[in-house]
Amino acid sequence: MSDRFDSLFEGLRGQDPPVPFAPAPAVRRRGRRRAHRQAAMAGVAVLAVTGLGAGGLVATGGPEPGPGPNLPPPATGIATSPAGTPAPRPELTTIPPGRLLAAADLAGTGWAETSNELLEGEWYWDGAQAWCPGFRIEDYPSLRQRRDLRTVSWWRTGEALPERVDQIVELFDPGAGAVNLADVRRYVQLCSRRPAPDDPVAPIWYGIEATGFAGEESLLLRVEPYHFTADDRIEPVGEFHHVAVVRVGELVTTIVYQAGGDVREVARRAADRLG
Amino acid sequence: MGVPDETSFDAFYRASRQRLFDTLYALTGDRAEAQDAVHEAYARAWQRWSRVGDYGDPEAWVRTVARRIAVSRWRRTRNRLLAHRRLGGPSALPGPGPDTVALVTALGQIPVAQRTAIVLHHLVGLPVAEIASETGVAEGTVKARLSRGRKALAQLLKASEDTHV
Repeated sequence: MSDRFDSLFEGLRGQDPPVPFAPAPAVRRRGRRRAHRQAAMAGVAVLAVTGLGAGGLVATGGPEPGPGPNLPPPATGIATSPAGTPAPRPELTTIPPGRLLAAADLAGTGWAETSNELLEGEWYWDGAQAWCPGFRIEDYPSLRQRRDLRTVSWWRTGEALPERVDQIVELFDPGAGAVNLADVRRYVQLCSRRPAPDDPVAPIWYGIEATGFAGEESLLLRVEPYHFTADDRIEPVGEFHHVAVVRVGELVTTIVYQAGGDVREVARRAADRLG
Repeated sequence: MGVPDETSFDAFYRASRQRLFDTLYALTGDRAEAQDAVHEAYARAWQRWSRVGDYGDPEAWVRTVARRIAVSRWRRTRNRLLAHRRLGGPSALPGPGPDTVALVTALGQIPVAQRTAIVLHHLVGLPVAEIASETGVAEGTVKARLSRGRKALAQLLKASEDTHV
């Protein structure tokens, strides 16, 4: 099979780009323009950094080896929600039917089920090594204790943009559900950050808006992505969405909420289904 | 920092840009996005060429930057693109042959971590240890991603063949 892959990929080599490659001097000019813009913005960046205190942002020089110096801003009150004493539950080996959100759990009507292969298989937060230098998937022990994973995605045509609600439900070994929540918190602390000057990649900022609103433990994250503008500045995308993470026993659900309505209410309904 | 050497940068750019474009096209499935990420990555390399040019493998540096640029942009748009794809169906890519389109489409259907490992191994030709170093994960993780990615790709390509026979 490997030989077959090698021959398949051989056919991918030498593809024509949509337009001819830019000549080398044009690439160098683009690099120089970028440098000039960064120099012009340096004063603004210094002001921003000095306002951040000891946990401030430091420029990165690219993907050199070793963890980068990008430190997250102080988290806004990471706390464990008050956990009650849950009644004993039967130990699950797979995620039973009916644990995923249904259309009736979402606000309004017109929701249609779709798929989202990007959510399947790997931890939702994996892939951050591309833009969070200290991220290593091995540092999140609960993932080695995951027994099962299911997903569902709902969308509908909103007034201006399509609305989406993606949900992942994961089942962990006994005791590892709580470890997974701790892993999520650690990921947020490590990877949440605002842009730094000379960033090679636009970052993502996560703000913890609430805890303890559903299930035995819960986190509500406000996710603010950044992107490169056409003239090479890193700016907020200008849109944000929420991610709710809720634990009930050894079941943990991650709800990526890009819709109107109350995400906490949807999270509570998700918790009801898990419990 | 010394004066950057235009001659060595230009030679490096001309010698490696096609390989980098092929890699980014395989990773993004979008030739325009791939080309822009490639140009941007080389522009950043030129900014630091007095340092990057001395690296043992400057192409690895540029490849990593280009992948990060592409992932960043992809993260921004992925959900909307997915929604549009579901609403409007996949758009035909003019230019590449049907086998390439099928492969790139299948790559787009596996998780990014697996896709990256597969592309770096089978297209770029990196051994497992170098993929681990470049992506910041353990070798065992790379092997697992290669294994899962190959299995998924084989199924997807078989489905594609069945569909088009």
